[in-house]
Amino acid sequence: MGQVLANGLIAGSAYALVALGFAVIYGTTRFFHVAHGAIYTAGAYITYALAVLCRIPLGVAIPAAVILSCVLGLLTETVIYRPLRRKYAAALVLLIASLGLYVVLQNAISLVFGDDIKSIRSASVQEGFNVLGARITLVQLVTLGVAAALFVATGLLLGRTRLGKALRAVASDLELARVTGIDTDRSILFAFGLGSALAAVAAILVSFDVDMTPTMGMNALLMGVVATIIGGIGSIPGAAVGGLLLGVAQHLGVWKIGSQWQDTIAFAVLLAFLLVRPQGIFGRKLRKAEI
Amino acid sequence: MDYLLHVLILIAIYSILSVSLNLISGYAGLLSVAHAALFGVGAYIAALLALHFHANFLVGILCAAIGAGLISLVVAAPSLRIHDDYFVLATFAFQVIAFGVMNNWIGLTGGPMGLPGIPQPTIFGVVISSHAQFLVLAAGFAVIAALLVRRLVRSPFGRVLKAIREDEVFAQSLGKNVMLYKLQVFAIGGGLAAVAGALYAHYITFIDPSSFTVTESIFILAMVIVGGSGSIAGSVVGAVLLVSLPEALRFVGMPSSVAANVRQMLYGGLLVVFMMFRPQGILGEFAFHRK
Amino acid sequence: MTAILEIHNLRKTFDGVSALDGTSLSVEERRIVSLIGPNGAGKTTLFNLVCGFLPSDGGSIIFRGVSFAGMKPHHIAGLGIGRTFQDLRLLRKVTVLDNVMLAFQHQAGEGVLRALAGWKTPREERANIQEARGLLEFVGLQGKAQDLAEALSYGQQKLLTLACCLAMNAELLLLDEPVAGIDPDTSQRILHLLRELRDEGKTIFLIEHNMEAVRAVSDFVVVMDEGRKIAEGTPEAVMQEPAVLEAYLT
Repeated sequence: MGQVLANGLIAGSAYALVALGFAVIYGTTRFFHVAHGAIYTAGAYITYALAVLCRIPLGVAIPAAVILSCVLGLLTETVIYRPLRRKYAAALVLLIASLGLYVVLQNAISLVFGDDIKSIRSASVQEGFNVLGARITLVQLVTLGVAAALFVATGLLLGRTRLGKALRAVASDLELARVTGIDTDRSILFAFGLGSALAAVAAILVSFDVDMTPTMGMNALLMGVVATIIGGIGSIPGAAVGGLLLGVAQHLGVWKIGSQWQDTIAFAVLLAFLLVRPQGIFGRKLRKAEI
Repeated sequence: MDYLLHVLILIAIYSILSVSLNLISGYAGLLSVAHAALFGVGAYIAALLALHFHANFLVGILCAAIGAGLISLVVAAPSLRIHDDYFVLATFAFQVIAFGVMNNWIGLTGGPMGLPGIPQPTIFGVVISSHAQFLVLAAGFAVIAALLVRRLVRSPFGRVLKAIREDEVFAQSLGKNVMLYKLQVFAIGGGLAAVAGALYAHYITFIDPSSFTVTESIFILAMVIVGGSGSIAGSVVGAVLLVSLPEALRFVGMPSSVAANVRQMLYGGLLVVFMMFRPQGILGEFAFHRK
Repeated sequence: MTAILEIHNLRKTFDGVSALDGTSLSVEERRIVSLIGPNGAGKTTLFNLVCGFLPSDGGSIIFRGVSFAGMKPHHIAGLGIGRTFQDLRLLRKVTVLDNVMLAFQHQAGEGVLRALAGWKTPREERANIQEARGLLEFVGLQGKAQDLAEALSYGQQKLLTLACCLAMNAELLLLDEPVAGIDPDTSQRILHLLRELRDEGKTIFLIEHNMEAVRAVSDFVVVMDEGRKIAEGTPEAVMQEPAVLEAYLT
């Protein structure tokens, strides 16, 4: 039971990171940047390309990959989303464009690297430590630690810095923010950069645990989205709680009824929230129509 | 010649998919990326009934349509309770989870190995064994589906759908039970997708989960968008274009491993390009704006 | 005269800010009642609550003895309440005629099965088209039936929304700023139409900022400020009350 909980929390912290990146972007732009899943995958594969193919030491490859993923995310905003927003395109239009972008990017990765599993793990399967009765490997411990640190860092960034406050202003009311002189374009860029970096880190952490495939982003995105909804759309602590809750619920469910039901459990949790508390744990009450 | 017939059969099957998704997304404005899941549900229901119960082909299609219709209702009912933009997320979640079930419930679906040996359809004692015969069958169903949807959208029912897509608050203020319309549209669209699935199962005589993924849903969406949202002729045009295009790739001499990726990148790219420059599609009238 | 609409102690808060703070009022049937008050007084919020677009946080809304608590907007509309919106909601990409056609109640063709089977609907459609054209003529939009709603002028669009309310056969019309922002001629036409409708037995409850219009057309005026009623009476009486003047000046 303790092991199940531990595994759940570890998986959950990865979900939480994806959710956080997604939430930061959604909060400022108010549309679903589905291509986030592809940026996630890119983070892992760029690391692979640098570390394994170019033999660059991990200590350099990882930060470089995070930065490059960040740039990729920024490109999607400047090349695709911003021109669409200038035309006052509806959120659905941006979403559909994002879907198309996801497909293009995932397949590009598949073309370049192939569909087989790639690994950036160097050592053999690790034994792991014994923590409170549960077996946790070093990688998993690092995942927990990094996720926690990034959450705190992001919270501080958004709460204490000027850029962060500008971002929050844009998230709460775009027009008002613009009117008060905030450079909304720059804030949105910042959101994309931050969100993409977080996604890349999550992907790298997960790859150290379970390797990578070109379709990994799809599932990660789904988990991130479910976590965002149950935590409350646009809420940072919500992303954390949602991710952890989802991870634990999933692993508990799998423990009881088998691993083939992993995804179904995620949907069941999502469904439960949609029925009982659609605004999520920390979300504001969503009004169906703006009236 | 046989190859040409094969392409035409695929066009017929995909026309049913694209017309039915257009009903949901183009006419009622409910963007859904779960259509491939419903396509798959139909295929599996028809296949299982034929394999285990030696069910008649027509009975199988009927059960597939009803089954998918009911599942659509079960999915849509809670999902519609939240803000419309989040409905897409719910369909996204359902799609990925449905794939998970198809892939993991090995006892029922055969898992990744799929279900082989699906019998060819028998209509009133005649076995449909040649491509030409199947084309007649598939085209027949496609015409019925197109006429059905056309009938619906040109009726007062269709008028209400258009009202819902442009301004659902206004529609409600005129006494229209918007939720009921959305549920009906989703059920009908899902039922039709299942018909396409049953046809597909009996044509290829083998189905596996890889035909019913999210990217497949996006492919069908691309047909609707490129051809034109809110235009039945457009859906057919979209199906013709997007099914023939990748087939044309074969003649350019592209190796098949690469072709699959390039095909997907093409339609992903089309989605992005159309959203940026012509969101209503070739023949369509709805550009996803809403009040 | 009986009250067709009674509102008791209605409350509504948004994120801790009180929009309606115990509003009570009643609207007598076959009257034109105007709801006035400074911006932010809660007038449109009141309309939204009556029509069911927002849930209330307390109080009751009673229409002809029926309580609206928890009712969905489409159900309320079906009971005979027509509504126009401050931001002029209608279907711009649809023809004028289709906008009105949409407003007819209990259309058989709107049901899935009837729409598909279709043996009764063409006759019903033809009858509705006749009636719709009649309504368009009544409001002065004859000849515009096949134009897209977005091609109409702002004033004509307001006339169209009025035609839609009539097509609904609504007993009570809730009109949010029916003459705001339109030219004097169309304004006069609308006010004239409202009087005609009242004489035909309809009840009109409207929100307006245009005091001349209010004076010209109202049988009764209710004044709101900061979420509650502060005065009511005939237009002349109300506009002289010190409380009302103060509300507008501060």
